[in-house]
Amino acid sequence: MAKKRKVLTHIILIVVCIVVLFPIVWVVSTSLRRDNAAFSTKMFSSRLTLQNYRDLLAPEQNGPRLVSDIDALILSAPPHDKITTEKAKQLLTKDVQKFQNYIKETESLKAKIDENINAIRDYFEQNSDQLIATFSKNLDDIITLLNFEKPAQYIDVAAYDLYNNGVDLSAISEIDLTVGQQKWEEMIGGRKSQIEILKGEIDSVNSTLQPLQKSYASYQSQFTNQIGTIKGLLVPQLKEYSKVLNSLLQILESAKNSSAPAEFLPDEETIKSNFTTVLSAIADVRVKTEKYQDLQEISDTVNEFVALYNKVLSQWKNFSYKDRAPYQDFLNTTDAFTTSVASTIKQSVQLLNQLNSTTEKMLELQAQINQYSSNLTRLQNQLDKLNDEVTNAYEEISPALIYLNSEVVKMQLSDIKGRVSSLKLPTQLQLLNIQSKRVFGLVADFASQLPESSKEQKSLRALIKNVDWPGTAKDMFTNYDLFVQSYESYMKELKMYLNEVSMQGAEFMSVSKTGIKVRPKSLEKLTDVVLSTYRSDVVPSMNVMSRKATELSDKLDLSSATKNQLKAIDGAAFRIDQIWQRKADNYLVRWILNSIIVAITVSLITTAVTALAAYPFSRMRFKGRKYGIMGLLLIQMFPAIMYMIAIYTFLSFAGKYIPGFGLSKLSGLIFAYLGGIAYNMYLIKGYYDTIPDSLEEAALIDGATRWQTFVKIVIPLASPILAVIVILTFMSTFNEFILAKIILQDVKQYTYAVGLYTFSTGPFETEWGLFTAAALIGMLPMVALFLLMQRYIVGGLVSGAVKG
Amino acid sequence: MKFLKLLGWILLAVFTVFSVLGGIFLLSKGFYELSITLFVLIFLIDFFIMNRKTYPYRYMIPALILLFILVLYPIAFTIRTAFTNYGTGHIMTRQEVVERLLVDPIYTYNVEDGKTYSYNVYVKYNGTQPTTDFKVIVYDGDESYVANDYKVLKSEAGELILGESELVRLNESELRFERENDRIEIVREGNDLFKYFYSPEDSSTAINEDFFKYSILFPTLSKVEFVDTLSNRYSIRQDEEGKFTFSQIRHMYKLGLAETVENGKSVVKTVIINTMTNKPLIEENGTIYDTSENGERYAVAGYISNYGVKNFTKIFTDPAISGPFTKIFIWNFIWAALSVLFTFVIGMILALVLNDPNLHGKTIYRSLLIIPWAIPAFISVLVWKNGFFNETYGIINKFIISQLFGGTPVKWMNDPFWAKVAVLTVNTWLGFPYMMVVTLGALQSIPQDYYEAASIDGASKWQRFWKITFPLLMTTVAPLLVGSFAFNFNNFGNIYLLTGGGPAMPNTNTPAGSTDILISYTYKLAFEGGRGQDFGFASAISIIIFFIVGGLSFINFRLSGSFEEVNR
Repeated sequence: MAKKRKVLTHIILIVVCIVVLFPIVWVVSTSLRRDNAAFSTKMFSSRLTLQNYRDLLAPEQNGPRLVSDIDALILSAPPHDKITTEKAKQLLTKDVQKFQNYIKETESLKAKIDENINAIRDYFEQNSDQLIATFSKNLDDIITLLNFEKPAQYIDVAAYDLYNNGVDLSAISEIDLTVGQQKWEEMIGGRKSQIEILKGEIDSVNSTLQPLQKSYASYQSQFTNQIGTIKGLLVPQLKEYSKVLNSLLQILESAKNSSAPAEFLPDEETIKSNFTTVLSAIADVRVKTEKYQDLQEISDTVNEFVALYNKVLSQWKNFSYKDRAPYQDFLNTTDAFTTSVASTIKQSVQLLNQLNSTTEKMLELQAQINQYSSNLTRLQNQLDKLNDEVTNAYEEISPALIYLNSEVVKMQLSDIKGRVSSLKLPTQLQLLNIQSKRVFGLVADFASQLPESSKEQKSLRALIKNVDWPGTAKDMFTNYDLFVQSYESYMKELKMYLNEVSMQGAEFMSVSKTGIKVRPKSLEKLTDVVLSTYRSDVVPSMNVMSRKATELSDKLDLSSATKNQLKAIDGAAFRIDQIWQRKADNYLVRWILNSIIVAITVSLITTAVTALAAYPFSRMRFKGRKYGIMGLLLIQMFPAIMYMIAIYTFLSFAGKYIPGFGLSKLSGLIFAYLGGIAYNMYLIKGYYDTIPDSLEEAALIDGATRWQTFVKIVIPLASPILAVIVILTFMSTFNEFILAKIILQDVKQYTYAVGLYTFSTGPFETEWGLFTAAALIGMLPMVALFLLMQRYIVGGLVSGAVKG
Repeated sequence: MKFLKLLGWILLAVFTVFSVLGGIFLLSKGFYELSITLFVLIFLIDFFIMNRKTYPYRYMIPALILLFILVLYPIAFTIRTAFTNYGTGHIMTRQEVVERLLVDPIYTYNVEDGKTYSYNVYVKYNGTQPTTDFKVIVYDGDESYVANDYKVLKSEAGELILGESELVRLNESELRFERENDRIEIVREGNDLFKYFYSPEDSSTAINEDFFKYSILFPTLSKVEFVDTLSNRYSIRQDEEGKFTFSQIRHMYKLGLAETVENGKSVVKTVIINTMTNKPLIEENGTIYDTSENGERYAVAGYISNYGVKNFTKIFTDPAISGPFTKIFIWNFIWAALSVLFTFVIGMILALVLNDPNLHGKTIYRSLLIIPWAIPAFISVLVWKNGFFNETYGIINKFIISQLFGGTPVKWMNDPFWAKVAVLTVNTWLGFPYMMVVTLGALQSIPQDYYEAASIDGASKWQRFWKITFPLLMTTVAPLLVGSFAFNFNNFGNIYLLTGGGPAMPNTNTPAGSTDILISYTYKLAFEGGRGQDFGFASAISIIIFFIVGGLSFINFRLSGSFEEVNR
């Protein structure tokens, strides 16, 4: 029990360690990768190289760099603008020599590729039968996996289904298609034809329904329009008319008090009868509008109007001052009013009638539509049901289908096996490739019919990867041929232009010295060939070739000799690429040097200063002793970044007056780093306290001064802690990032921390090889130092808190 | 011995004199805090050295120098800045701004109907290379003038800001001229020989135009004003067509007197006057405004001016600032608290496991688990950022989430919640080894007899942990937790390197982001000028941070008894 628990503890601890250290493992493995990790689909790779470290620490002056050096020499541009022509000529000869060496190296690498490709061709030729046998064996593996148990029922049905789809089943003997057809018709066929019929019906219903719906929609919009028109016409007008009616009432009222007699009265009765007729017309409008919810507003207005109208009418009927002048006005006005209202009402009635007919048509259509759509829903339901039934039926027969399909695939695979067996490699590699593609298609199709992520599906998908090596091999050979073509023309041009440059260069050099800078055509061409022809012509085929070579060695079970040949192709191509690939410059070595310079200077100065300043705190009595260091520690809690505004302005100002100092200078950065002294004072003072006073007292009695006892007794005794503080300060300065980022602006003045930051941003963001290698280079010494100094770092942090 | 002492005194005197001169120079340049710091420092140093009683302080002089310049001065500067509008648009002192308005060639204009001369430039050669030594001859019809070497009227740190040169008639000049085809080809001055180099009208000299522009015109000639016998001023300016013409100019601003009414009294003041419109400039809140012809005011320049406590009050009053500020403030506390919690819990569990005396390979596990602490934090954070949390290429999205769990990629950098998860994850990874080591140390100091007594009394393992281990652990570890809180409260590096504080918060006019803590927010305000730098506001926030963190540390010193320890 206890033992079990112990094992469990260890397992858990190991898992924790793996999880915790995973980022470091990733950094190490990525820094050694040959491919571009950021774009790779694999987390780790087996193609390893130290090239990243080489590029960072000792970058090679490869082809493109040589070309730009030659360019600078001939044009007498920096960094070669200060040298004499003689010297430049010498350098040019050297550069050309180096260039030729690269060409030689490339040619020998190319020869190596040729040799190995040929060796692999030979291998294919000699082992043709064996390879074909392997291929067949892989097919056999698949075939074994395709042995599905024959299900008890529905075989015939499934067979007929397949037959119906044009699959050739003649080779499978034990099936009876006639029985199958019957059952099939029963389970699937009948339903399928029903489905077809239903679909036809649905289509026809739809074809009737759609025009109806369309015309309904058009009536709908007509209806909306008409409603709008009626509202727009009637409501404002009735409101206006109401005003008139009100005035009429007032006129009648005024007649009561008027004394002026009427002169000539129009025909009162006619006017009255007209007036009443209009009322009935209005009532008609009212009835017609009340039908429509949308015209509620109108019917309300009409109601009000009618009420007012009736009021006028009743007053009129009972009116007794008919001999007065206002009554005459009343009659005249009423006459005019009635005509006007009558025409409005007439219009409205017309409009309402139109609306009515539209509505009637809409209702009629609606009824039809409802009928058809309920029909449609019914049909749709039937169709759904049938579809479900068919799906279920297929589910039921699916084991049988799979079985039959597997038989068919098996047969086709055997057929392929037969076709393949007589092939001769490497000449008939393409034919083998076609067959392997066929296998891939057949098996992948079949696998997709199997239940999703079932065991069989997974193992089938894994197995078909074993038979796709002919494609890989073919790609390798084809791309090799392409590579050879582009390589030849690249090399030819390279040699030609290099030759010309080496001959003409010296002459152009003396011209450039006078200030007239002309770049010889041959140099232009050479630059062009190295920088762009290589990239556009040679690289694509070469990269595919080398990748396929690696894939091939992973895919095929080859002898280690052949594997090595494939590896050699990859290696040679990689080296060629290193020689001719254009690489960005980096300054990592310089950054590390900068960091070391800064860190050493800062650690020495601060240690010296603090060693001196901590002494009185340990040995003497003075004001401020009690809270001095703690006060300092507190003050240093002020966010250090904020010092930067002041220090930044100070440095930019001082830089103008003091040469070699200021912003973007290491000296300025060193100066800015010197502020952190409080914590070290605290540590050193604590150590001084442990040195017995008696030693110094004895010396003082012998006539030594305080200064002498400090220098000769205390400092030597405290040297261990001073060394520790130097190293700790070195580490913390080396690891500082922010201040350096603010102060340093020139890329060559960067410290390691700022430099590494640039590796993680911008164009370098995906250059993981360089980034991780650079990170590891900085990380390792710091981790080593940390582990070495662990005791002091931990002790320093915990002291005061943890005291046994 | 006496000689040495004398030498010492002389050195001290020289040091004092030079420092005082330096202080005065700084004062004249407007570095008031720095010069005051320097004077105090000089006084203290001299006092310590001359006074016998202050002997102990002499050991601290180098430390004091560093402390004053690198700690106290910046703090004083920050405190003063917190009450000003120092920032983009308000970078210079008023004196500098005024000088610039009066002097800078930007603030000049071509006089309408002013004279325009054609000019030829002559250059001294060093072998085949032209040098920046030049002469200018100008032609006004038949009359020709040569420009004398310019006098420096104003310069800063050796860089010319304004120079003045007189135009002299050729026949009155002491120079000798050699003509060829009616053109002066060579100008001799003593033994020096200036060759015809450039003229904007002569296309055969166009080849020299670049040298003329970048080595002579822009650094020097454009800053020189030429004065003719009638005191008209000329300068070489670019006209509308982009040509550099030698034309008459006038300064846009000059100093003048104007009467204004202040506090009911009329006062005559020196003001800056626009020479085109003859209107005085108006100053408000550290900004100088000019008035255009149709009476509209527009800002010309700004200078550092007092701002009162506005930088502090706007945290509460300005909604565009108080919203994001509150969010950042709260997240800052959550971030520090969660960082401490996660690191401590994980570290303590591991420590409890590793504290088992019967466990084999303890040291190996301990050394392996301490590695995240040993790696410089900025390297780890960059590795996490670039390799792990990158949204497109990062292996967490590409391999762990997509391939292992089949999930959709997480927006580590663009979703506020997941960005917070990312920074906390990394910080926990970085911080748990420290907690583990600390807890291990503290666990070892707990006497074993407590446990023995407890187990005799029949306490369960769980009870023993909660009743003995945890309380005893807390007494020693609590100050460290507070310290860790204070450290994480200001843990700028992790936030800045991992997310840069982002993703940016919407609806704010300051560079606030969702993972920003106060210190990174401050940094962005001060140093990342995307939306203009605001040193004043940044300083105000850093003072607030100081009070929070300083307060925490003070409590911590009290808790851990560090004060008593120092006072042995």
